[in-house]
Amino acid sequence: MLGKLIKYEFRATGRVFLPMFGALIIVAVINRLFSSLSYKTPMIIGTATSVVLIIAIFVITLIITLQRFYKNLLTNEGYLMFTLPVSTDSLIFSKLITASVWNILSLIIVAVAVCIMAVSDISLSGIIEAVSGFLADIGIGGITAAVIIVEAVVVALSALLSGILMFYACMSVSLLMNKHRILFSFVAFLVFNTVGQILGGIAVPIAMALKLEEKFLSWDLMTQIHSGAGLLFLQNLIVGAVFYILSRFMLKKKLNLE
Amino acid sequence: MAILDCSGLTKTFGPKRALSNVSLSIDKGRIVGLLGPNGSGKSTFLKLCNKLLTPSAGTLLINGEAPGIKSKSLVSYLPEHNYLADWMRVCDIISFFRDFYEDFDASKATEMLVSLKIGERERLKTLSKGTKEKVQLILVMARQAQLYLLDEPIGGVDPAARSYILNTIIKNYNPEAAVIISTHLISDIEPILDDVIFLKDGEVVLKSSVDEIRGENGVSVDALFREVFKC
Repeated sequence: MLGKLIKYEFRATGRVFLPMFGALIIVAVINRLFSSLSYKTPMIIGTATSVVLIIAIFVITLIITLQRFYKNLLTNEGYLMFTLPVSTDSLIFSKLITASVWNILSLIIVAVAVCIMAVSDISLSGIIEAVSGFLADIGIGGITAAVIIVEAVVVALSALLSGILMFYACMSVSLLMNKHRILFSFVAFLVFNTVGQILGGIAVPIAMALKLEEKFLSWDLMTQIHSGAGLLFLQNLIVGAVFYILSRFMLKKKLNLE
Repeated sequence: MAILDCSGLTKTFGPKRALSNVSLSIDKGRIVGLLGPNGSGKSTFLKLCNKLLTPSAGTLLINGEAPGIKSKSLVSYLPEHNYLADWMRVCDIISFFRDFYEDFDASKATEMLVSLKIGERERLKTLSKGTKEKVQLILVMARQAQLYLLDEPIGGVDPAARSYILNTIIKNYNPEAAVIISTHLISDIEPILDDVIFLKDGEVVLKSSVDEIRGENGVSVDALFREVFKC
């Protein structure tokens, strides 16, 4: 059933994303044509348009990530979704997976558009060369470089997932309120962030007291990178799990559609 | 065998008791009217049966099991709200139902759409409120479910469509299934009811068959309702 939910989730969101992505790519190509022909005025208009489009894509991606969860599950549409013979886990995962894919695709499309518009040629192989060049400069090459890139991707992915789950948790706890749920979601967002900062604030002096910093600095660079990535990944995993469990609990036990 | 069984079912919202100690058993093959004034707990009861709310106390069993994925595949629920996403076309929502409910009969839905003159290619956004309600009722009645829970199914549609809908309910449900209809438009649905349950302030004040009411009290359900809930 998860597959079917994801299918409908993509159908509901694709109708917004695909035309938007198409528009950005078309503007980027037109812009590139103007710049290679050195037409000044159209070039400025084209660049301005694409900048606006890029900002719009990021804003709309965020809005749809929030809206698909809130509108589809917590307003009237929830009467349909929560009476389907599917589990609450499937409902959350279908939203999470689809939102993640669109977030990643938005980044990729924007990167592609920037590459198209860039006056000097930027290609994928060029980027890889530049990154590996940088890593080689600090004395890392070959397989280790590949491992670091994979680690970076995994950490970024875990940050994306736990970030989306935090939004879901904010909206889910608003079920505790009978009115002003959107406002309450914002309040929950502020509270969660403040709590996170307090926890971070507590962790730093503890780490200092245990002299973890000295220990960390005594390691070689590679160990520092690996353990740093591992730590970040672990943090995202725990935070994500907490928000997932919270959302699931709220939707299962505290559901109260208007 | 009872398709729905509950005992001591209670739901509180803070200090407010929406449903208080309700014990009921609904047998297969019955069409039951869940009747009561506004705020008497009708919708709360139906939401509990659909796991859209969690009971504060008491037990509730649908076909012998607590509400869950299994019961949701047996229950066809019509909420009082419009739950259809605006951007969808009628045919999109038909294929959505076909995908998720094994007991959904798409040809039956199409047939009903044709008789009510609703185009399959129409976007839900462009349909009137009453037409959306009709679409929703068609989707719900095109399932071969064991239990139909209809919350105010005729509240927002015109009298002509009302008769069609009531006929549809009688025609479509199979004798092995039970139907619970919540409404306060009693005289309209009285002819199709087997049993009635009167809810008042979250409590069951009467459960009886329509024949008994007519026989013992010598009045119609509508008249009895007016007497019981006299303001």
